[in-house]
Amino acid sequence: MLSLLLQPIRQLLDALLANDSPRQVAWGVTIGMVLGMVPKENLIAIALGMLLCSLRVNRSAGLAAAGLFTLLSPSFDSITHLVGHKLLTESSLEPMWAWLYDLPLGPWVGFDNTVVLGSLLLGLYMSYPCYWATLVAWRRYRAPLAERIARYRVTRWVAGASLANRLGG
Amino acid sequence: MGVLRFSYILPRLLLLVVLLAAAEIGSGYIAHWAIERGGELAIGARVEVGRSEVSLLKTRVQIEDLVVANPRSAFKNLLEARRIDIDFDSSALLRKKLIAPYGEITGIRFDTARATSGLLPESPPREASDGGKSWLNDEAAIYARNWLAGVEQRVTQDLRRELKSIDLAERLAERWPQQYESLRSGAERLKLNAKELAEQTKVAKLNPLRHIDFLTNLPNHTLGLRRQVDELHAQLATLPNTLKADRAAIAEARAHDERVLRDKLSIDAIDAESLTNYLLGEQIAAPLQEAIAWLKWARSVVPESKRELLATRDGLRGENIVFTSSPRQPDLWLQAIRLTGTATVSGQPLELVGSLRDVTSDPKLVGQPTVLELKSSEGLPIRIVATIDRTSDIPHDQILVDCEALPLAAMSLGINGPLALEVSPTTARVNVSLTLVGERLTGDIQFVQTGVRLLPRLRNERLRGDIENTLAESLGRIDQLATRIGIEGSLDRPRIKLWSNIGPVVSESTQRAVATLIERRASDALSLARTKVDEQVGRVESQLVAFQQEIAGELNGPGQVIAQLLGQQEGRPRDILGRLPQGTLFK
Repeated sequence: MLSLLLQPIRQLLDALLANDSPRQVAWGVTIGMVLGMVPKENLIAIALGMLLCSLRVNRSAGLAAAGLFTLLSPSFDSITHLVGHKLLTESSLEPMWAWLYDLPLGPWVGFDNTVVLGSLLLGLYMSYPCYWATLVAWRRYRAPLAERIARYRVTRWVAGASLANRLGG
Repeated sequence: MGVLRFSYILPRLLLLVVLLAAAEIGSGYIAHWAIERGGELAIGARVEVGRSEVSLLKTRVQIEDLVVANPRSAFKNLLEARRIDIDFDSSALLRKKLIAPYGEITGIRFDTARATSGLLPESPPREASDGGKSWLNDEAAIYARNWLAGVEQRVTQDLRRELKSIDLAERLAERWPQQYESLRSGAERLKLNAKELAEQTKVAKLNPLRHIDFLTNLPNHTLGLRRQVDELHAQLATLPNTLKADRAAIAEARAHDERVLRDKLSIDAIDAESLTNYLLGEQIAAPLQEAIAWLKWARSVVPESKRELLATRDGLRGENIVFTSSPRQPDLWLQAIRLTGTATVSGQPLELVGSLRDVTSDPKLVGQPTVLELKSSEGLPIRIVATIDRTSDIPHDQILVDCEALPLAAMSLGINGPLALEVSPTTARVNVSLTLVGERLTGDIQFVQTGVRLLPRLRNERLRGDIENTLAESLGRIDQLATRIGIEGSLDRPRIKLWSNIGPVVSESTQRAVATLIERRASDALSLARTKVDEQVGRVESQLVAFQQEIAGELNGPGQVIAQLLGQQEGRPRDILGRLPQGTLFK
């Protein structure tokens, strides 16, 4: 039970201390951010989740980002709704939306929802800055941060033997 | 090293396949739970599923042994279905739509008994029943009941006490003998007085001097006696006049009696509608209340607008945009479901076939009302059509029932009142049309019973022979009983208007029977009074002549004495004192 409770923290530490490349971490955070932004009851969220798990990216960082942005995303709903509504009600785009909607599985995708489309677009719009910001930050702060965290006994205790072995190695 | 993690993807693809297989197998259990829970939420009573099978690949749902409990009766089922097969359109399912062009429900049975209570623990207590009586014109029924009670009271009351002529005759019967007795005793007294006076006179004549005072007053005594005789004669002479006056008083009393009897026994005419309400009110109140309660329930199960419910769904972020150029379809649409089953109506088993069309989550989009149509395939010819129309902003519900020959068991009408009608078992043509538009309820229910036999029953035993026979004779001419129930108002405040040919017939024949009975009772009472009075007057008349003769005879004696005494005094005045004996001083 305790192991389960500590799993998120362990994953966060794993993201910090793992030997993945900064690009993998940056991609993980970016995909996780987009996943966190989008409401979950649609195929877009499922596809993003599968993408996060299937690609060779830092899954822990991605899941952490997804969790963080899931908490934050409702506060963006007013903006994302406006964006989504604007696009979905744009008369010139409507034939395209209607065509997409009429495709098999179209309604399951969920893009007809203003917040789903708006948050997806906002997430995609933020993905490039997010990628570069994460990449730069990771390169600069990963080593000192990892060193600092590794000093604490609690880190060893939380991270467990695998991480200790990894640090030792 | 590639971009994709095949070591990750392959096991998860395998897991996905396993999950799909599990979903194919396990979705039946999910459907089982969802049908029971969703059904209970919608119906408000237990919903039980024997077995359910859902195939995602074949997009088919099979449910066996579905039992839906009756929310209004704990140990009854609303319906049972042996098997439900629904084939969903797979293309629509890929578009997040549950659309079934065709389905079949077999082995439907209605109103079956159940061993355990079908009510949910959280079910609200059933509304207290008001018996439906208040919907009917209760005042009319009360008026009819009071009218019949009034008739009963008037017909059974003792009329003799009310008759003045009988009272007068009884007083005459007392007065005349007293008068006779008084005259007779007067005559006898006079007779004695005359005799005594004659004897005293005789004695006084023997010794006049000694009886000088008597002899001096003898003329006065004699005249007084004659006056008394004359008075008695005068009284005798007035007797015929007194009798004449009594006759006049009796005639007046008779006229008064007739007037009083007419007033006392006359009854207001009862209107047929009141009598219909009285006779049929109790009989129709309960089934009507039940029908209206079911309409209320149907309205609560199928709310006014499904779309509003979806819009207010909790947890929905943003807004789902509907693309005008995209063909729109409702989320759920069961286009046609064939129904077969059995039912029991008036104790007769029926084989029913029918259809349920256009059950949908968005009736406005479909543009067609949900229609349930059932008809008997053999046996009792019956057709039921229920329409639930939510295609416009104003909900529109309708129930039509048409039965050619519904068997009806024997029944008693007005059983708790002073007049009841026993109706023999018969068949009826029944037409029911109930329409609920918004909150406005209108309806028309017609029963036409043929070959009906009506037998009246009066609570008061003293009335049975008279009124029952007349009523039975009138009702015996009725072969067809037509009843019409008009319904207006709202579900909460329906107003019922009853019409039946039974009301006018019973009203007319009851009034006729009552009038005949009253006429007879009045004439009996008057005849009795007349007989009694005539008897008394006859007796007085017959006695009068004899009495006059008797008294005249009685007065003859005193008359002769008086005449003799007066004759002596007038013819020979000096002899009044008589001749003095020889040698007396005053010779």
